[in-house]
Amino acid sequence: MPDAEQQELLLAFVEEGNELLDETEPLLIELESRANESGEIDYEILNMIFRLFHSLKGGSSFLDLLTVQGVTHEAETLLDLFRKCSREIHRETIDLLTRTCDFLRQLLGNIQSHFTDEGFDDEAEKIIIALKAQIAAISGEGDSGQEATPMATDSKRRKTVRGDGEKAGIPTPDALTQNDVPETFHFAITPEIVKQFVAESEDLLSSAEESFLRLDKMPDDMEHIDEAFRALHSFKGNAGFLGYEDLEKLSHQAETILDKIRTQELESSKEIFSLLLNVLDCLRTGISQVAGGKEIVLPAAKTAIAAMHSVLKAISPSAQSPVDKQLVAEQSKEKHGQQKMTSGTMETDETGAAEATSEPIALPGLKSSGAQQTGAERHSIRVDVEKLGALLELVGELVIAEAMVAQNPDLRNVKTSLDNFEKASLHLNKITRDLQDISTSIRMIPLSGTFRRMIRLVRDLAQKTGKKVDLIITGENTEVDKTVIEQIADPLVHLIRNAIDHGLSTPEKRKTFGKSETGQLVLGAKHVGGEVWISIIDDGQGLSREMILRNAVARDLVKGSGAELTNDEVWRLVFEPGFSTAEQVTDVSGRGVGLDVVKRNIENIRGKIDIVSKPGKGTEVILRIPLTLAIIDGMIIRVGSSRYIIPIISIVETLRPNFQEITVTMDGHEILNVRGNLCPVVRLHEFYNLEPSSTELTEGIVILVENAGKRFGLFVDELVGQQQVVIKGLSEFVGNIKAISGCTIMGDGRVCLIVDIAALADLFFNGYQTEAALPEPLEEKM
Amino acid sequence: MVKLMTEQDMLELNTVTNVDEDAQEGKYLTFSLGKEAYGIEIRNVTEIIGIQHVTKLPDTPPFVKGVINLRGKVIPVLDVRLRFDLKERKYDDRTCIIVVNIRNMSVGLIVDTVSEVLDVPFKNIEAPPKIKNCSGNRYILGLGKVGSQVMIILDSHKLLFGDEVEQIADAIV
Repeated sequence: MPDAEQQELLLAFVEEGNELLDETEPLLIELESRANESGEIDYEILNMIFRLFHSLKGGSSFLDLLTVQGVTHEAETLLDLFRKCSREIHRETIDLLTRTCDFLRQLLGNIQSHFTDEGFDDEAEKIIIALKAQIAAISGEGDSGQEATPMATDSKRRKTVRGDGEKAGIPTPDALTQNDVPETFHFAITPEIVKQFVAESEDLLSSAEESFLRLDKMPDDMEHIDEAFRALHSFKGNAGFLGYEDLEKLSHQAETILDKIRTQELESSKEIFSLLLNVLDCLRTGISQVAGGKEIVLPAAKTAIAAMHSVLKAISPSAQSPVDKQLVAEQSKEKHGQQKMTSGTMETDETGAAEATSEPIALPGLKSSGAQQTGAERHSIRVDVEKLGALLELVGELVIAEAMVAQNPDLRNVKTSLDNFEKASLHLNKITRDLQDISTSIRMIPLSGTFRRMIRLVRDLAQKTGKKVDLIITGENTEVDKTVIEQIADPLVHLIRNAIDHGLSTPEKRKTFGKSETGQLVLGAKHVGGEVWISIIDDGQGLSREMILRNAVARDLVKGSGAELTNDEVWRLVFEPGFSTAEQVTDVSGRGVGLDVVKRNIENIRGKIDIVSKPGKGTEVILRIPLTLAIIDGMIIRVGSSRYIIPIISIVETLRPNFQEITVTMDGHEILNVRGNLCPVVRLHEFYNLEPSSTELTEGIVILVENAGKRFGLFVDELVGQQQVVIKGLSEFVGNIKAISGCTIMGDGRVCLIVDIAALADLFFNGYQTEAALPEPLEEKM
Repeated sequence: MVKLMTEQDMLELNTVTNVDEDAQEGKYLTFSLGKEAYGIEIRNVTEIIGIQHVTKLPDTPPFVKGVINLRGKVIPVLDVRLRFDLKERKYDDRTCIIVVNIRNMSVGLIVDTVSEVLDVPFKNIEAPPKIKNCSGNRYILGLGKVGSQVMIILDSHKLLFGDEVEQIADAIV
């Protein structure tokens, strides 16, 4: 077992690796579909994939994860072949690469739990052999039929990259949904990639700089030379990929110098390091120009390169000469280099100042290293989720504490004017709200990661079922709470499986219906009010009322024939545990588990599911999820002396019933006629065993709530008010309480319970009886 | 006989396991219900607060009075009288809530009054007499002799979790 530090590194690697794989998979599929459309390989995508595998390989070799390293190395070699010679890319290759991704994920999983990637030799070997076979096949082809020299394609590619890099400022909305215009590389260098490059480079340059500064003090510290070398090397690689030739050249030279020092061919000295520091400054200027979306103009680059050249030249003839002589020669040359270098600095400073007047944004970089961060700032940091949770909790408490101060009952007894106090308290209130908003937004992450994972799923499913599916993703930048992301991945998988397996038909069948062969699946997200709506829309055959009912009746999910149920209620049956309309259990779906998982997960995050289905036209499933889990909009109600909170999201309307609208059945159930809709009424005071102010329905208020398509009324004494409340869990000590989802602390410091409408409905419709007061059916339900 | 042994074992166990950590060893917070004096080990006690508004929880045993807001934390409170099946008594300004922390859970205990912290050496504590049909006995850790007075020392684990702990203890024996 590795030590704690090593473990931490491994875990970080796993996290990063999974992220890289998440990125890779959609790209592979994108690459395939591009290749299918235009018959050509999209080199930008290929390069990105290559780079991702390369990063993974780099990380694994650093951590001695030999299996991962071996596999990624082969994958990289395979990709490299495609980069070098323009081969057609076949489906088998993509399949193999996706399989490789799967295997890597498995390895990462193992690393996460056992901190090693050993024990997978057989599988690894299989994959490597398969990769090697492909490599052999392709390079064989390449030898015989190779046309353009690698160099030619390379430089051509460069050009397109540069071209695109220049117009990178133009946003490429959603590369995945655009399958038209295949000849332009609109997936090329997106602003995001540039941003990432800039952030990464800033890091690399800083670490190189740090090493140089150390070396400046103790020039013989090999460790730091290595570190600086690595940083520059990575930077060079990145710059090369993105086609920033000047930056690449500069860093290459600097790298060479470091290499010479490493191999002791060049004596390290202060002069050299200040020359290198100068180079770094130069690179920084370039980066901030990139960040500002400008062309790279580096007047200082030439002098720096020349200076480095002379340093290098100085050693090459004298490399074998006696040490003394070499030293002398070197020193003299170094002086020369230094002079040049100083002139270089002067020049940069001057141009910097000169241009700064015309273009103040791009160039403040050269004047001081502190101010230059404008463009190339870090855009994100990794933070422990627990810390975020703690922060959020504290903010929640702050909100409560603020209300307790501002609405303190003692204030009423104060005789003097409270003007100043109120001003201060308003100010405090504003800050608290802002703080709350920001801290909740910290936990928000875009859905793109989750959505992109579905691309792979759709492709696999389409292949398995022999259907043609176009996946369209919209609104992937919509942000939701992290917990929501975690809870939503499974439901999405199930819903997409269902849409493809049951919703969409085979190409032949679709033709007979007069639809295009390729089915359409839209996965979208958008903000609606305080909710996020995630929709899965297919243009398949739609849900069949008869089939659902037949199955539900057969499985005893419905009493009677179910003919009286509305469409909406029928659709909901598919979310019942054990429900399945598939005649056969297929590999993909049909076992009757799945959709109830969807329901459960969505309810866990207090979301709702809407289904709209039109026979022959398709089905739309909308998951309506609250923006944040920590705070809800609540309606405070009073029953007797107790106050409860009902989530506003569940409330349809509130009303004071008339005498004529109430019907009482023989069982004593009260039914309210609300403009033709008959709704049963739950008396909250009976449900919770409270002493109400009045037992007459006409004297209180009925709150009409909706859960899972069913409406019912809650009878309470009074509506107290509406308020945003911070949800707190009840103590473990008391466990689950009947139809209570949590509690909150009110402005006056009292605790107020939050009613769980879903659980209440469950108890009311399926397990709760007004009179008999059966002993807790809740427990078996949980 | 078996039961008696168990409790003595547990008492010893408690004292043995906490020798190092505790300068509070052998110290008991005493409180009263009616005229009887009770004590609980001070190391479980985090604070004592006056009675305050208790929000009732539906669907809980009667001795769980509800939850209170303890500086932003919501903690449940138990009425010790009701826990012992004693007669309920109206809360007044001497009523106190003793907040104990057991198994990382904070729970408030509502008692008539809190008196003082007493040192009771181990040798002055006796196991409770085994009397037939006396269910209250299960909450008693021992009887402490303080001068001429006798203090009922409570097992705070059992006070909170009831028989659950007993079952575990039985399982160990």
